[in-house]
Amino acid sequence: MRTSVLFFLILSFSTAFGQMAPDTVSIPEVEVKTVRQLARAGVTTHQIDSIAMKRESDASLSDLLSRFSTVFVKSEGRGALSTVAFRGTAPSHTEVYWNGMSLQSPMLGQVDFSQIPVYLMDNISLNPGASSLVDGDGALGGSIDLKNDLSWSKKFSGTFLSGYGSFGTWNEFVHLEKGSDKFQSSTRIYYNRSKNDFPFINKDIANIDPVTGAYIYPRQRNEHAEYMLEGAMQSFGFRLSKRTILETHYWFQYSDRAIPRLNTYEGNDNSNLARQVDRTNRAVMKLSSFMKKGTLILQSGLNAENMVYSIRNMVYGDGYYNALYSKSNVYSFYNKAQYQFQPIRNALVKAAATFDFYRVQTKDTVNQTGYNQSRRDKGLMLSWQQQLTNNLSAMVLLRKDWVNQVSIPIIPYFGFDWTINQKRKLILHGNIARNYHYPDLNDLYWQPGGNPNLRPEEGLNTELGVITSFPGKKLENSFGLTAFYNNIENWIIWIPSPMGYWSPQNIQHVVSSGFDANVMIAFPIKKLKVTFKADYAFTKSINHGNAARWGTASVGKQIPFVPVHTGNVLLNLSLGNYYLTWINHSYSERFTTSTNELTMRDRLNPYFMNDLYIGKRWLLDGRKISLQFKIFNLFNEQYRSVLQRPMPGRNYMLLLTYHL
Amino acid sequence: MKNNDLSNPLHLDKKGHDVFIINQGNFGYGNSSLSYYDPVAKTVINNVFYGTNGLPLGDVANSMTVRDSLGYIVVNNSGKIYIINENTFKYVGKITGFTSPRNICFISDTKAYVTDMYSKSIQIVNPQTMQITDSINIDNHDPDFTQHTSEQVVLYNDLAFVNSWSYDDKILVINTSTDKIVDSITVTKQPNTMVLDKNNHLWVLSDGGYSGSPYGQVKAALTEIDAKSKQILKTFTFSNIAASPTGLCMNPTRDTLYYLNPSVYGATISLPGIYAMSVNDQSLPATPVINQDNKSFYALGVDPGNGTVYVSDAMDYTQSGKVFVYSPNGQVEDSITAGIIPGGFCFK
Repeated sequence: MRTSVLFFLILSFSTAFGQMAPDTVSIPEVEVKTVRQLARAGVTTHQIDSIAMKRESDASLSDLLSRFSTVFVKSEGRGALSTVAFRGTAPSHTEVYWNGMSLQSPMLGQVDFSQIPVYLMDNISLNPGASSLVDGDGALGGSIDLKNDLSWSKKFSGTFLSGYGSFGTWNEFVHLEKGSDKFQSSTRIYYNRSKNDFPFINKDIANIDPVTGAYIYPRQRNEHAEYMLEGAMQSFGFRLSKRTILETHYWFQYSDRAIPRLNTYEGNDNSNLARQVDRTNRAVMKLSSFMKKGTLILQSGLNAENMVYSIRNMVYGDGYYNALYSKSNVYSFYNKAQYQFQPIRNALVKAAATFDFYRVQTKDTVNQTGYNQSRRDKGLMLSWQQQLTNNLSAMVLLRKDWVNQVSIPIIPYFGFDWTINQKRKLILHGNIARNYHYPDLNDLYWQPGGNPNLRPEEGLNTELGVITSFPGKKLENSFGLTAFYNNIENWIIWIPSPMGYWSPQNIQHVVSSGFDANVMIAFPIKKLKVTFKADYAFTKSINHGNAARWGTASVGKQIPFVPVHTGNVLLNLSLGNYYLTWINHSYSERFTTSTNELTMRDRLNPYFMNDLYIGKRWLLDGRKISLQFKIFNLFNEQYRSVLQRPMPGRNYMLLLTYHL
Repeated sequence: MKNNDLSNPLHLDKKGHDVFIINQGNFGYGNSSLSYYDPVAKTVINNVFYGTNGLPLGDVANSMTVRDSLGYIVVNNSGKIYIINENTFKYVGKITGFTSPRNICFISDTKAYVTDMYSKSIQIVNPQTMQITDSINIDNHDPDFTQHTSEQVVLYNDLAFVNSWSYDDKILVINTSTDKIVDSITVTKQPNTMVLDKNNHLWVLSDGGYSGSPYGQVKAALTEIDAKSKQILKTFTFSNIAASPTGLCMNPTRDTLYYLNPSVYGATISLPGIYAMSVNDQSLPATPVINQDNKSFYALGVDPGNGTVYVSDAMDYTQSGKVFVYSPNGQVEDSITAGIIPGGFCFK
């Protein structure tokens, strides 16, 4: 590990342009915690560091983020739907971009983070709050950037990963890269499956012993929970001329998951068998032209998602039939043109125009419900970045969007970076923005209950923070502390009706505020390299409710499923070719009611999850082999992420990685 | 995570003619619960099932029926019926293996029908052995909709009238001796609730479906059927297409009907609330006996002993709901906090 905090303390913008030049397109391979680029004043970006990327290469993005960030990951179970929320907002307020293209479903308004394998990505970074506006609009919570970098290496390289773990879990991955100065190819193929039938004692149901009357809690397995994920990703890079690069990325994925029933289920074994099958095809094309006066980027992306969600029941005498068979085809087409240039000294201007098109066709073939709707979004973006003094830079960004023909109010952003002390790399940074999140198509058109009169959710995001690191020859370190405040009005929630269906309404008003802090220290003790990192977030996400309508019981209370305290700790010890990594990630209690009522029945108690990884590397004729043994849930803690869904006890994974 | 063992379980023995409130909880959360209300002392005890037994009731408790000192709680999305002592609330047994059970109706000491939303059959159970013994297939093999579903059961002599609510318009008539479907009556779309009056007339309340439904939407209606001849006597149609009435109940003398006609998003009506109507009336009542005001009424129950009206307000659906208690003519008597989404009432 060379440096912990990478500062792009760029005093002139020619260097900033240099960073975008063709031969240095990829970010250098260094351990990065928080990247501050003066070309993005006020923007906070938490980049997942290379230790985490290496250790978690076989994991899903949801597992990675729960271990290495302070976003809240809500998981319906191992391999099941996982959503991510920033700073006390909702999962629908989290945008995910893959090579610049949104992965958020325009139908569901969210991303399932269990379906994104880490080994597909080279670079993962998080932009909380207003910082998300550099990527796009609508992310009232924050955005996550997933990137594939082209190495432009002439050498052929291959990586083979093979993992075998508890509960019949297999994970196979191949990555091949080859290229020249002019052409680069990167191919990834993966296959991941698990029977996922971990054992647990079900204390949510009991049989009565006929003799003693005592309860007998059944020892069960997590049945009907198997999953399979397979796919391939192909990236090409073409250096069309000295100043022009074309990148293409294509990603196909097939996922088939059974959805287990709740712990309290004691119905027919052959009924309520839910299953979700997703086929996705995604492609992104990006043309970058580094011209004398500025840089032009043209980008197009297509995201085609096909989802089948079904529930099967057994009818006595008739066999199986579908109680629900919902087929959805979701197409998203994204286009963006961006030009950036230096109009005057120490200034950088970016101007962009976007045109996005979405179509959702969804139908339940059992009861014929569904809808077929499309949406056209047009947007303009203009940002002015100014280096005011050697130590102070500021940025103003404006976005203007039209959804179909509806004009969304202008989205303004202001941010600054002020270097207070160069030697200590002490930087004060801040930003403020207004943002709007347009309802997703299910909110508007779902049958029954969709509400075409919904208004966009309206957010005010602001933060103020400091980062610093103390100079030292052997001790690398970095410290960060950021206070944040988000005010979201017209927050959309779905509520049921006496008619038996749900309908979304713009009724919630939420203010979330708090701070997040991070520390990184790395130092050697003789041959032993020690890295210690800790993140902590304090989040008060308060319902300002509608007291006249719903009484005062829920006003001033924490939003359900938002933990007040989130934290994680990493300790990594490397000695020669051996390493030991301990990871702790913890969430405080989450409430399941708007009034934060606590009953023994409904508690989601705090949990402190501990994982331990042990690894060894061998070098054989320049080829690297590594063996990693992972112990998850080291102390065999019983915990839950949501009510009535069991989580596995202590379990294991053995990973063999071979680098050509 | 702490386990569910209770250090201080409830030890109750409540013998009054009291009221169980069945709180559905949030779908998929498994947080349904049972509340117990004493209308004389005006006290409520929440979470009596969990408090007594240390077990969650399950996911979406739908209904409860009391028979011979036992309470049968039908837990829809847990596929089971919990059996408790009606006074101590102690869990004494369960009937398991259903698909999407809705209500239990006793035919005899050894036979009961359990209706089901998604199994295309009515399960026959023996309450004594707590086993499913047989089933009545009600599949009409319609390729477009799940038919038939079964909701409530109303008994008249040896006939059981069963309404098929969801995407359906049928009242199935079953002979309770042979357990065979002997007839069916077509009514207005989506019959959700039924009662039998003092004249042995079956009253069926249909919500008419919802706007944009692939099954179509018609104006809601109240249908009066002669249980003996199975002939429709009169259909009272609601004038506003947006009206979606539900929760048909009957007073103790079985001569007055009560129903809930709520106003919710997408189905806004004027004068939402609880309506009362004499079985002899020639038209639907014009004004409610209880105004919805700024509440959001969710479920209705009428005590067959004294005619007290119970109506719930689920608030924001993620907090403990309220139950308002009214005299038969609509005077407020009490208001209590029950569990999450109070969806049904059972009178001991």
